[in-house]
Amino acid sequence: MIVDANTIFGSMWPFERRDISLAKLKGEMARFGVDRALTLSAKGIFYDHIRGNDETKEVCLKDPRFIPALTVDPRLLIGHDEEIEGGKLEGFKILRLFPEYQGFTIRSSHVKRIAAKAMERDLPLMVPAREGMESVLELLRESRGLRVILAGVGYSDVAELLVAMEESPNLYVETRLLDSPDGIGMLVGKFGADRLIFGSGSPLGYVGSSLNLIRHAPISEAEKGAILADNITRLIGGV
Amino acid sequence: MKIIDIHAHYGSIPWTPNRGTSIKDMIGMLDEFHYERCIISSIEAIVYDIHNGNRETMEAVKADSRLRGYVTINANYVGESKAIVEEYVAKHGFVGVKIHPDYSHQPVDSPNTLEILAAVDKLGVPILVHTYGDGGVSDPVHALNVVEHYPDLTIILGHMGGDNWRGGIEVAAKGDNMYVDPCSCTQPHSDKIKEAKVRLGAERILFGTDLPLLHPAWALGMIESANITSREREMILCDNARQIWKSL
Repeated sequence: MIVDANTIFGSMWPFERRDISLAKLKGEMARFGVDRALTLSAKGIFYDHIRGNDETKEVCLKDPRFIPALTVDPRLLIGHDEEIEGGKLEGFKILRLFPEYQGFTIRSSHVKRIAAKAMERDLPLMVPAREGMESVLELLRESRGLRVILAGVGYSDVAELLVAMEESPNLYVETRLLDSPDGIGMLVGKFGADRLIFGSGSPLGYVGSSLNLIRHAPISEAEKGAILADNITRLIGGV
Repeated sequence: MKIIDIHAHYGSIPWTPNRGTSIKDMIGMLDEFHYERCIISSIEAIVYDIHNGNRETMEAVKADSRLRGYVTINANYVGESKAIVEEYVAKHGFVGVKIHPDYSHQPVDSPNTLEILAAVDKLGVPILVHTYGDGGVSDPVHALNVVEHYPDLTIILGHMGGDNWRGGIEVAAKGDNMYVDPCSCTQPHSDKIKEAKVRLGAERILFGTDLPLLHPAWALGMIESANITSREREMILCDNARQIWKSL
């Protein structure tokens, strides 16, 4: 069983001509044997999170391989709480924020309120690692009980990551950019396999590379299974 | 599947958790991924001391018949670099020259580098140039001036320009003897190899890993993820390198 915790779909990728269609995502999943995927519509990132979340919900209702990921745009003046409340009731499993595209920082007080709301509604929060470990730790310190998945942690972040994971047991790591089966082995040796989560960034990123990092890691098959599916399944309360 | 890795290093990189920094680890990697050949250059020679680094690489190459060496130059040391090139290529059988402009702060078309490249051109071995970014010393565009001076020299654009990978492809398209090596995990763009193939043809793409900074599992995954034919995959992973280095 493979569950990809990091995928998107949509009609256009605004920065360049890319195929991010649902068909493309499904094709990549089939090609690499990915069974389930947490996904969201790129419309929710670039245009309107309410319309995007509606599109995500529709896709996930039609195809049980997809698990809905919610997003909110903190720049919108009001309505975040309602969107998160409603999303939780409608079966969305995580909340994703996209500061890299929407131009905010997770250190902002209004973003911290959004994170607190996610915690209150028991939704794990996925944020990009490029926001910085200290910013993420600050969120975790202020919202005790919040679970954060760091997406796209790179090999050069590992030293800081070790300290952050030590400080916060609620910090999880999406593995796609670790670029290092040995790094995964080291993290498993230090913290166990339970806090690593497979994601690929498909269809923008390389599913093959992301999977290879886990497959070649010097860890047991059970630990690989945990990273590829069990951990995210547990984190979101089942798929 | 046969693999020739044309972009690997020997030595220590403190900030990567990858093994592969000792010769024993490196041989373990060659075994694990069924390498046929792996061409290495010295990390120490790039970041610190060309003499000791190249010497260590020569010793490393002797440890396994699958290993070959690039001699690393530094354009701030023209006379020494020329002598090193002549010694390591002519006497010790190194198969190419590694250039990393980020550390010398000299682009591949600086007067100093061009002077060293005159010696390289005479010896007829390829150069592997670290290319990354738009506008800096490692911008792939600098390779175009090298082509002007040495049209027969084979130039491999390491990382294919990195975050400026489309620029790297365009530069490579301007010279028949230019090849790209798309390895880089900080630019995980799933169309990168496909676009290179469309613009350049699969025969101008080579397989590199940047081992031990980056891991073969990552770079192989890039090739596996690319929408290319199995024949094109074979070309990229092995056959294209064989065309460049007939007796590798």
